[in-house]
Amino acid sequence: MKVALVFPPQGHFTQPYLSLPSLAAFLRGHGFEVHQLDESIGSYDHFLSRERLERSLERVAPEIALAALDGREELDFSAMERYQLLSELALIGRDVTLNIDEAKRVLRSRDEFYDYERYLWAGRTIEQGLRLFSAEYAPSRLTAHGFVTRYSVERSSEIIAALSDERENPYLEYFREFTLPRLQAIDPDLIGISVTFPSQAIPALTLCRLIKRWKPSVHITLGGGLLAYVADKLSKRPEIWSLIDSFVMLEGEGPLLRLAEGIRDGNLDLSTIGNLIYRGASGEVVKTPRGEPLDIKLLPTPDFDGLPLDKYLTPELVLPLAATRGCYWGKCVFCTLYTVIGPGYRGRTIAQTVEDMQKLSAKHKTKHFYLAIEDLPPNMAKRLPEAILDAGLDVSWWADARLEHDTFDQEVCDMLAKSGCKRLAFGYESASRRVLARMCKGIDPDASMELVRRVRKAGISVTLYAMIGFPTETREEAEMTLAAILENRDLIQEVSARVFYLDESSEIYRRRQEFDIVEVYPDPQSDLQVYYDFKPGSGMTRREARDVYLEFTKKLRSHFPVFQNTNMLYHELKSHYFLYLAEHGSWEALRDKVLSREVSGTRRAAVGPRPLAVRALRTRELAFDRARIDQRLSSIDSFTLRPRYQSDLVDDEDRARFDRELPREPREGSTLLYDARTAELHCISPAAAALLLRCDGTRTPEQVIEIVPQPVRANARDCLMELALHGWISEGGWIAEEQRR
Amino acid sequence: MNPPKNDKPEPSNPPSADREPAAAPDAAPDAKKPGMKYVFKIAPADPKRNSIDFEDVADK
Repeated sequence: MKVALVFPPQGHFTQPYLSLPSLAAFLRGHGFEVHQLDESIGSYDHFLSRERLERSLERVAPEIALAALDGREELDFSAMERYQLLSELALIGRDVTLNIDEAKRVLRSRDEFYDYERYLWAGRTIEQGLRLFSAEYAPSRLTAHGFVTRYSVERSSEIIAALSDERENPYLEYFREFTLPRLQAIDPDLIGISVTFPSQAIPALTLCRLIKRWKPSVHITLGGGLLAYVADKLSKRPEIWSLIDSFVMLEGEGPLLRLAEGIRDGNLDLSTIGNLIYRGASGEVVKTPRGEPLDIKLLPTPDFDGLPLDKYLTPELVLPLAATRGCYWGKCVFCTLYTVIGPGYRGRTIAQTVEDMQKLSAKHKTKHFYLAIEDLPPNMAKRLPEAILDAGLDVSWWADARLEHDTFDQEVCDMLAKSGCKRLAFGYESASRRVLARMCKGIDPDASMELVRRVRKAGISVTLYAMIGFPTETREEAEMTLAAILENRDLIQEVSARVFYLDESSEIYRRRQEFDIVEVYPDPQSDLQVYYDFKPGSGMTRREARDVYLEFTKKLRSHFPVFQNTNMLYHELKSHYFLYLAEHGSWEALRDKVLSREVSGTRRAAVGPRPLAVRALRTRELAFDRARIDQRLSSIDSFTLRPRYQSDLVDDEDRARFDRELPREPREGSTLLYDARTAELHCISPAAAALLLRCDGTRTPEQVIEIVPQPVRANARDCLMELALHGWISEGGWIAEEQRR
Repeated sequence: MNPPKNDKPEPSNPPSADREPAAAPDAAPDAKKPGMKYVFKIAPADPKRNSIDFEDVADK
């Protein structure tokens, strides 16, 4: 009797997830042979490999496709989108292919990961590799934190259609080449697939379809956070029952053990297993009664054995650990995590949590932990640090926490920092007392900022969550939130802002009249819909809320280093910012030693006597102005578009209208420039490109600019200076690229 | 499902409540103007859209 547990694409590539190790430890403790397959990291590792990207480059053939676009007189919206991608790939596709394995090596290398310039080079190369790979399956797009296709994950008919789309679903090929052979070698009797994110829905069911074609008798069960929301709805779709045998709702340990025992003993009776959905003998969908939440004090330490721990793109493992399940507060009316995902708050003892850390730290030679919990409970905030220190553990960790004004006094904050806490993320949500009261947050905004001040004083990085457009919230109230955050920006390292959306499982949905929600607009075609559009009777309209959200994010962009240009550390790669904090000890040290430092060692403000373009530059002349195309496409934001759930792809209807109505982009030459040392791309105007071309080491600066008419020579001189600032020209006879290496 | 949390199955962008058709994005700048030939411009070539960046901080 063998069990295979699969984490399907797409999750983060910087750390393993907790679901499989928790289930594996539990089943192994009951004597079962369990194999863990993280096909998310497996597929990222394969897609981002030289061999695979060479295949993409060959299939996309960007040179040929770009030449066709360059031959046009003008570009419509769709052509501009293709132009943006193809111009990049035509210039750098080969470099990215050659460098991708090195980029992964850098992210996994202790020495090079913390070299910020090398880190940025590697991060950019990874992003470029993802764009090259995605181009092969366009419009599907794989990023460092997402996988989107034109198929809506809110519609079961579209999900089913995506499962056999060889053209746009990259996982068909991957699963056939890698996952299926691995499963065939294991030959399991039970396969559990954990689906946490909506982006995993299509890949997970794609895999189920292939497995069932290979071995129809194997019992496939699907569980995980997403299913808690949509399994009921998905179970109504008859086709789903040719792909899977059961859904596990809520916690997986109990149902999975009963399934494994039943299969092993040959007496499997699904009707006796709680928290399950399955299809009965006469084709009816059966939902078994809800089981009691587990006492998590009785659970073993998660077992990561068998996961490809060397494949994650970090130099040191960051292991997730759940000291609690559920939320001890459990009152916020907008939230469903405590009702749908994890009903019933439970915790392990402080001693158990410390022991878990000790065991995993020793076994996997890492000191980094992410406490994957809803919020750090007060007793743990007060007692965990001392227990960590008493045990002599040298760890760094981070977690979400509630703004418990009475708990986080200065002594507690200092002890948290001393025990290795590097980052705390709090649900601040609003600066309005009225809005917070309606949310049932149970916090005071002024006291919250005082708490944040104490956390910062202790040296812990602070992340705040903020919500815009809570029903009845006025524009003035939302602006108060922005003002409070900006006023205290020295205390806050990250802000995660989002527009309120109405979840059908939330308390506010049930009591929507009390919150002046006058109308709800379900989409009749979206049978898996969880969030609804609505019309508020007071406060901001939905459009106003999004307007304020965009103003909010614009201000954040200009005031927080986290949102500025080299933002890779924060946005894309879950564990990287935390590891940098741990490496440098505190936010201040990280800011002063790394982020504020001049990034490029080759930058110089002076133009040499005989400027010479560095060898690391690649350029490509384009028939259209790529900078203007970027600017026009970036104006297509969530205000302009009707956003689709889990997808920022342009809706077909919008695309057709944009193609029809938007002014077409006329021919206007530009040059795309790639600096192989930094992996940065720039678009320069023809005049700037002409100057760069004349920097061949034989001309003085005045000779370089003499092709320019006298009235604009001053501008040309400034441009030369800017080229030098970017490190693209060096003094005559000397090549900056070589000095850097 | 608010607020955004780590490791939680949340959408990366909110659904819209706007029932009306989307507004058109910025119009194209005027066609080539006299003097454009000696414009010296250097801009980062960044294919990212603005729309989803912020919602993913510390989320997914």
